[in-house]
Amino acid sequence: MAITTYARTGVDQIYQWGPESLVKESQVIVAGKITHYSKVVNSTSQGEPIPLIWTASGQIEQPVVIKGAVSTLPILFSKVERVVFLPSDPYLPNWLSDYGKLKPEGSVVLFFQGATDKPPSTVLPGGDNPDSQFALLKGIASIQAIGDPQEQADA
Amino acid sequence: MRALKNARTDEAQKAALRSLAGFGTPWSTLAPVLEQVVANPATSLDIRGFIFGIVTFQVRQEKFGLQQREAVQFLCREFLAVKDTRLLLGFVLNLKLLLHYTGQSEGRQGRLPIERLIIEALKQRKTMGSMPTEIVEQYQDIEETHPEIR
Repeated sequence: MAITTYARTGVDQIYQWGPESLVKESQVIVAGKITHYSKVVNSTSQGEPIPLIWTASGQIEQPVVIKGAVSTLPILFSKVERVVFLPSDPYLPNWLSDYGKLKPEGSVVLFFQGATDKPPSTVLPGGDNPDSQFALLKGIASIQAIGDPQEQADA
Repeated sequence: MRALKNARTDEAQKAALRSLAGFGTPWSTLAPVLEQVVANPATSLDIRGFIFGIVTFQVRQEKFGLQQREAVQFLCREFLAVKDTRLLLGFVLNLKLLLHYTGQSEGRQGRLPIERLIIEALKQRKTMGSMPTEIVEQYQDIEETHPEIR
């Protein structure tokens, strides 16, 4: 599930990569409320057992399509998450961590490289303001859908 | 371009700025919109810092071609106008990166005009009043390679 295409480091990445990069690389993007949330702890701290790394899973039953088309329902997903004090995954761009963790009954956005019956390439939690996040992604997708490069730059 | 002007959130403005940079938008097209955004009192400090950073980044990447000087003039104007000290620190750090870029030996002669602009702006800012310790430290660091700022 790691996004290897974003394995870029350094402060300059904030000027090069963001949600628009992910939208551009994805064929299908869906958002929605998380149902059937579950969490499996993969690693705990020694002594007092604090979860360090876990796999959060869930599904979207009523997706809002941001880009492309949904081929199957419900849409299943999982994401490996880690506690905030652990170093972040070096293969993930920094901006992805701004959106926090998946929460039961929370919102999520799923990015697919292909059809929705395959696991999503990126699972993005809805963050503090999912409506604003969905609107941003929809806006980006609609601008990127403009065929003419000049018109796209003007939009 | 319209998305940058009309964006309602910082995230949307950042996405628009990155996209325009990705398109290779020429400075002459970008400048009027950036001027409009920075002149808007509602523009957040975060976006002001981001604009300064992304323009610096594009200058270092030589994306503005013959209009590089105009882009650096914009940065110098913003640097001289900024009042917030945290933002000022960020601007100094970016100018330091630019001086590192202009100081590289290969093709240095061609970059001297923009280096002079930056040095002049740094000197001018120094005369505008006392600065917090962390900014003074950055100045001291820059002055080691550019003693003419002292």
